[in-house]
Amino acid sequence: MGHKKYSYQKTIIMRVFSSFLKKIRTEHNLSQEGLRALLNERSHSFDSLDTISISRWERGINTPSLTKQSEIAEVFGDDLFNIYSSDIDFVKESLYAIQLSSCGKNDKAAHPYYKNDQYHTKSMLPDHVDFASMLKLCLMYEGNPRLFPAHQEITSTVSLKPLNVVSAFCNFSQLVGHCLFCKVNTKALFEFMNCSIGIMELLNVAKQERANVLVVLSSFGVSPAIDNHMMSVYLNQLATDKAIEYLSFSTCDSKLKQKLMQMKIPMFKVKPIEHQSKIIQNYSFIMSRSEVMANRNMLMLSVIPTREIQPTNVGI
Amino acid sequence: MNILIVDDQKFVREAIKADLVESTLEYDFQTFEAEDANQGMEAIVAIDGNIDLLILDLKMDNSDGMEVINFLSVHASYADIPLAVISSSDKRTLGLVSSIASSLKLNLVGVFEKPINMDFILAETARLQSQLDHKMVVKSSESVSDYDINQLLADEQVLLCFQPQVDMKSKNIIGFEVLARMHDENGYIYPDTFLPLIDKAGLNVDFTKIIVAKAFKFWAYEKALSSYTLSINVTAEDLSCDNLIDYIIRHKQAHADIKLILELTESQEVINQASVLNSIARLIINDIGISLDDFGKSYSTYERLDTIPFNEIKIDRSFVCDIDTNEQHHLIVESTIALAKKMSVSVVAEGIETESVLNILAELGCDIAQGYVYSPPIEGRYLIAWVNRYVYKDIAANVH
Repeated sequence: MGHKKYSYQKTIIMRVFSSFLKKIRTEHNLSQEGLRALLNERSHSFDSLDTISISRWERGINTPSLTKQSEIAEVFGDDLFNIYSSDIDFVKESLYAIQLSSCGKNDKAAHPYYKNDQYHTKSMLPDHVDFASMLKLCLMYEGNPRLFPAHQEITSTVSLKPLNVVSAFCNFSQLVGHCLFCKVNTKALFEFMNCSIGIMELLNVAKQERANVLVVLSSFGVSPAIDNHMMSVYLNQLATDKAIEYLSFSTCDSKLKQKLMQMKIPMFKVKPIEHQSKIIQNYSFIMSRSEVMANRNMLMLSVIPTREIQPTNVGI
Repeated sequence: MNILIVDDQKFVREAIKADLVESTLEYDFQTFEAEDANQGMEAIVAIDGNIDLLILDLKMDNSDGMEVINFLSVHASYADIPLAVISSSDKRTLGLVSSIASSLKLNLVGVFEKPINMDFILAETARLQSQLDHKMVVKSSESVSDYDINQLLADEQVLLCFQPQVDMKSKNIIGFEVLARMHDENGYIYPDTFLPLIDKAGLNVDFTKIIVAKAFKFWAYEKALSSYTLSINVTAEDLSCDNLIDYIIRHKQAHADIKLILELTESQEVINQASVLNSIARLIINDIGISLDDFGKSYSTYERLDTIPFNEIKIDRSFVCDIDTNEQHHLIVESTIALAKKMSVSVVAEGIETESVLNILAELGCDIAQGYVYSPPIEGRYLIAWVNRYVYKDIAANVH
């Protein structure tokens, strides 16, 4: 079943890592034993590492977990994102995997007007002419009462400065996906997650203090492919902006929550919000950059380049 | 849809039925009524548990809803009947009933304060049912233990993270708690997933040994960390294993400068065993600190205080994280800190995420703070950088 689909990714991961290993060993003029000794000295994750394992990694017989790979890469001043995003085959495979998951057998993805045809994406900052209307649609979908204050003050987009909206459109400018995110700092984010400050204060702090966390407030696509694509947008942003140490989600969308849980990301907290005599659950997630990169699904999504969807200030 | 209403007041039953007739959500339903707990249970048996919603009054004239709740929990075939508890009791009682029902694993739609909104209850029932259906699908497609725990341990797929503990007065770093993560080709695996597997495989002691060995190696290697305490979690079950105690003591003797603290969790029955108390005595003699973890969470907390000469109490995060908004938690934390002061042991509060919680703890006289407000757990390889940044920032802040 699912195994076939993944086995190919696994071989690619093995190949990318084995060539990386061979490359650094040549560059640093290290024998397999020399590499073993160096890793053993520099990191505590290689206490029982032997040259047989190194040899197997290089020959692609097996491969260490991404967590160990990233430790090895860091010993040589490199990182996983850099290694995997510069491998054309891996990027191609990741793009392919995004499409693949859309061909799943469950027809839940069937959508009234979207039939797996072409779509294009557009990134918008608050100074974009369509920003306010796109933000409104995001908020409507998300239904998070804690984001509503932003909704009311949409007229003054200056205050929304750090927010970023990316929308996906199919033919006839129909909206088929979106994501809403911003870069803030962790201290303010935890205050926000605990309802000590509201969205406007969070955005305000973000303007003053150095951002170190990318927080996703909404993420959705009508098909699994678009859904993945939207996710790849902010994962790629995180990967390329080295100042960002954490990835976080704050959402009321149980579909997104489900997806994150399936990707084996632990929930940080659930906070019930009373809104119009109804209880709405607000789910929060937080993970470090290295946790993101060691997660195979997230790594694959992050390497997909978003060059074609750079922020643009041109109207439709 | 079969709906059973158990309420001693006729007008309440009539009002619910009237609401149902007018409801826009449900057209096709049949109601059954009972005026006390006994009648209710008889009705459940009579219709063979074939009930789509059980509306249960908590306080009735000559009986109470708890009887029905207990009845549901002891009969497995009735446990998944969607249950809506209605009551005019105060919020705390409602909360208590809600946590009892969920701990009994009943299919609780909710606990609703009277007067009730029938449309809302119906909507909640439908929502819960669809969630439940969805959950089933997810579970069947993904087996619970798709991890080979033996292999993961054999391959050393264990990673240590550290969360700082900070002195509340001086803001200096006091030490770090070790938090374990495992990893495979898909990503990180967290304790709530792997600890039950380790337990099932009977590898608890082996796992604790791995953590102790790795943590000691790290602390011994990074000289810059030697002034900080190193807190490692152990369970009471761990302590009944002499072999493990020897192992820990050997490590401590080999590195006398490492300030080791064992954070002790769990069951009272085990703790009171003579062998466990004996182990604790040996640890203390060897200059290893004992901290009572998850303080306040278990029922036997105060007995533990009496039997173990510990150095530190750790207040559980579930009490700490919302003391700025939860009055009861505030009271519990306040009295725990007061108790610790009287016993002259230090208090660590974990799960601090916000400035306001931190301020309240400072006012209450808590000694040591731990939580995301300072940092999420930090992976070993980034720890020194974090310490340097913290210390530097602190100095910079004091200069200003």
